[in-house]
Amino acid sequence: MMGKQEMVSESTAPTASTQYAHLRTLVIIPAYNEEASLGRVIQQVREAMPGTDIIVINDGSRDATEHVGLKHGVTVASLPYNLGIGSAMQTGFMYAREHGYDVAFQVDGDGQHDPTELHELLEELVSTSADVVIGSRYIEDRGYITPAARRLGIVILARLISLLIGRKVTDPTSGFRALNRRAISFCADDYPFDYPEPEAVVLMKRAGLEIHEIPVTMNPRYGGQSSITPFRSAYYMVKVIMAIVIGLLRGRPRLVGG
Amino acid sequence: MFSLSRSEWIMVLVPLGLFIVVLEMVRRRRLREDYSLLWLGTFGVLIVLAILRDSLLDEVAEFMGIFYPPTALFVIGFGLMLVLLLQFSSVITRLATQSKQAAQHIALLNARVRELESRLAELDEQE
Repeated sequence: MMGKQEMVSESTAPTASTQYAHLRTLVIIPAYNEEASLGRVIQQVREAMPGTDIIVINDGSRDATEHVGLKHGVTVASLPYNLGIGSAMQTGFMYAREHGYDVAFQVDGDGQHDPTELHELLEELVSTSADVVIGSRYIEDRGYITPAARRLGIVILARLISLLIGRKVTDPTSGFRALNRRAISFCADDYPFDYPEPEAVVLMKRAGLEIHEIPVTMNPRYGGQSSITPFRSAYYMVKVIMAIVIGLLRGRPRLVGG
Repeated sequence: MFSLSRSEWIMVLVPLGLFIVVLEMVRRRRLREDYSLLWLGTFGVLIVLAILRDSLLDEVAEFMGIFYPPTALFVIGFGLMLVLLLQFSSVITRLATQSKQAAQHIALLNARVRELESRLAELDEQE
């Protein structure tokens, strides 16, 4: 029922994962000024998962991000101005819920995630009791090199979050994720607005959602600018830790429906 | 009672003038009633304390442990100003949340319009 990209791609769909063909899946690609890499990401997602629908959330880009998305025949939801990745992702989750998707994936528009690993996320999501599956760079050493300072920051966050939620998390900043209906619905209602990933892990866990991590490989960016600078990294740490701690002082987040 | 010094006149007239400006802005609908209340309260307190410089202000200053009463006026004014600023942050937060939600709905409606347009185009081609 959902439009052209499904019809176009499914008519010629090879049987890469016919096992889960009954599931309606949506790949959400948040993109802010990603004209350089977006086309390639879309193509790779199509090749890896021919049956899936794709939506690009164009987060107020000033470049041709919207045009690139439309040219590749995917759904594009363009925010009128830049809201930050958290609110962009929430828009994607709102779309996923509105259209009744079974599974939503998050794949960043900068090409850092390897779409061929979407199947592994899906496999873990469907074959276990997980509500959310996160692709982690740090479970196995697959050669992803993180600058020492950033690695330290991620380790601190990972330890803190593991401690808080009582389950080991190695890569809470990873934006390579798969969510089932319960998790989609929760995130559509309540999602942090910027630097959302670590906070979302805590929120989702506290809402009673089960979170698994699987090892993945990540690439360096294809193009565009990373949004991370030293000042922002420091702000990131302070903001995220404060948000998590204050979040704990709020009531338990509610999971509506399910 | 009204043998005020120049500085005392200033301390009465400035907040009084601003009090009237706020009322006038509300009258012209340039300021909403609910946001004007804190302003009117702030200026009202400052006016009363400045007029009752020798009675109420002295007592308040003594209560606060402030030796020179006019300083108490500044301290109280500053405190009320902080409350006003906090109210602004709170209002801005609410507006930011609302504008975020509005933007998200615009984006989703945009996608839906495009979807409907392309289906309409397909239907037209079939005819």
